Amino acid sequence: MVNWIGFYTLTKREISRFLKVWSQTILPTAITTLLYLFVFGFAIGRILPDINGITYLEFIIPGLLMMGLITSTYANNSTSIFMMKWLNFIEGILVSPLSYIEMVGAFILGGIVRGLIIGTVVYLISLFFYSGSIFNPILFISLMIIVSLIFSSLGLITGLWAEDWDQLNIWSTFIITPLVFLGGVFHSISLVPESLQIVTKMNPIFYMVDALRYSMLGISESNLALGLPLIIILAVSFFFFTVYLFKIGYKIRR
Amino acid sequence: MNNIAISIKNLVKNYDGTEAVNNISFDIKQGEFFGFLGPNGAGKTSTINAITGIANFNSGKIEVFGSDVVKDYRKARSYIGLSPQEFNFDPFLNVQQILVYQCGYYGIPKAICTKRAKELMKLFGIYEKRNASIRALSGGLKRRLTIARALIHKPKILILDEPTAGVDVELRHYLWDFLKKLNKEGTTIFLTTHYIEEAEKLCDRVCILHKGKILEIDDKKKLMKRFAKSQIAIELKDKLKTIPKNIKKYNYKIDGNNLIFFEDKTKINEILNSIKKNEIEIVDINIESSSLEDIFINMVKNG
Repeated sequence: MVNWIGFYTLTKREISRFLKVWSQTILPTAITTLLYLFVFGFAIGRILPDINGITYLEFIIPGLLMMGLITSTYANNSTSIFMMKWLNFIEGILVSPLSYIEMVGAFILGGIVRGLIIGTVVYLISLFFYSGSIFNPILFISLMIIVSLIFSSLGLITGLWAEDWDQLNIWSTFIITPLVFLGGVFHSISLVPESLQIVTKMNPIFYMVDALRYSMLGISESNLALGLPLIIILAVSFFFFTVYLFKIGYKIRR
Repeated sequence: MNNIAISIKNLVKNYDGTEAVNNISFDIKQGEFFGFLGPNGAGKTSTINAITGIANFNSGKIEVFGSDVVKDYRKARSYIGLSPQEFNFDPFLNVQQILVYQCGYYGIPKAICTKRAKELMKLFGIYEKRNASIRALSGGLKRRLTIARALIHKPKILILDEPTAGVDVELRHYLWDFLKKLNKEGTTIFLTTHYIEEAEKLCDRVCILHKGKILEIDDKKKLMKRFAKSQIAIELKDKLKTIPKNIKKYNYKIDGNNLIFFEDKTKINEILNSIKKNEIEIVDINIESSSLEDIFINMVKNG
């Protein structure tokens, strides 16, 4: 039987944690997005040619939304679980009758809620710069949820793995950020040399950015028939791998 | 329901090749006040961690009221309330939230959790601090909160890992009275402590653990009877020049005017008669029985 109250309590704890420190968890993404939109989109973007019939400013809005969502959901869960481990208060959860799937589900739902808040904030900011029309709203929301799930899970995995703050930052600095920047947030794949296009197509974040761009603007540079299943497979795999790590007590049970 | 609260069979727990718990087995009956004693590094906390799900273990089997702590971990964990040795509070929550959230993890509705949290905070004298952050609490208040948190879901088994470490005498006595009452009301209590006096006062049965192995496990009174040694000190008016023959058969030593016998206190009449027969004048008699602490120290020294 599902421990719904326990699941709800842990989810609530996760959400109230990041809302309590909103100036560190929500505000920075909003300011960064505003700066990117102003500098790259508004100032530099004016002199750049349209891409597939849309302005450069509009082109980068879905990318910026995806970038904010990925970095914040990843940071949310990696920090949350790492602090729980670091300060040992994860024991309060380990001794409780929450199942491992409920534990992971609650952490991830907390991450998804943060992702959706970030997505909404970035979208609202972008309204200063474009009409705000969304080509496929269902796909738009579904993608925000699924990508948040992927990076919430990845955050949990690296938070479990990391033994100090330096290790925690390795993933975000050397893997997540480069993949995000090379995933087509600021540029069209057609603008890079062919060799780099092949590398870009091996980057799963490219498909996420491109699918979101399609859901918002109706244009796409990737094969969505390949990208969307890939995103779903990643989400399911990461989720169950995280549950497995909790089950074996990877670096959380002594 | 099984009347064995906790059953441990052949538990082995290694840390990086070091055996912290070395093939131990014991049962704790429902309603028992069980003392788990041992010096630092004996394996007490490792055993508790294995029971509660904080640590994995290498081999063996642990059941809580018949539920396996690995296969049926949710049921097993629902029976237990743990008060750990180290404080491990969520720094994002205040005192009341710590209790209410912990209660929620056990699937109990918020209204009930809030009511229980208030009752426990009043019981442990932390109600005034209900909105305070953990940083604002003294060590004693944190200890009270730890125990209150362990009790928030009304567990059938309360596991206390060094509950009185670092608390003042007043709180220690308050906790002793509280735990005795709780045990009388039916809660099974598993206590680890460095204060052997605490175990002597509270426990029905004790287990002495050393280097991951059980040295002794028995009813406290039986254990004390089996291992207790008495010391009968008789102060004499004059120092003895020679030891009378009928006294030589006892295990004794002379310390100035004192004649000290290391014999069971039931032999006191026999010893006094032997002295009287030699017309030796007695000034004072002092009998000391060894405490659980003496027994513990001896066992650990020899173990």
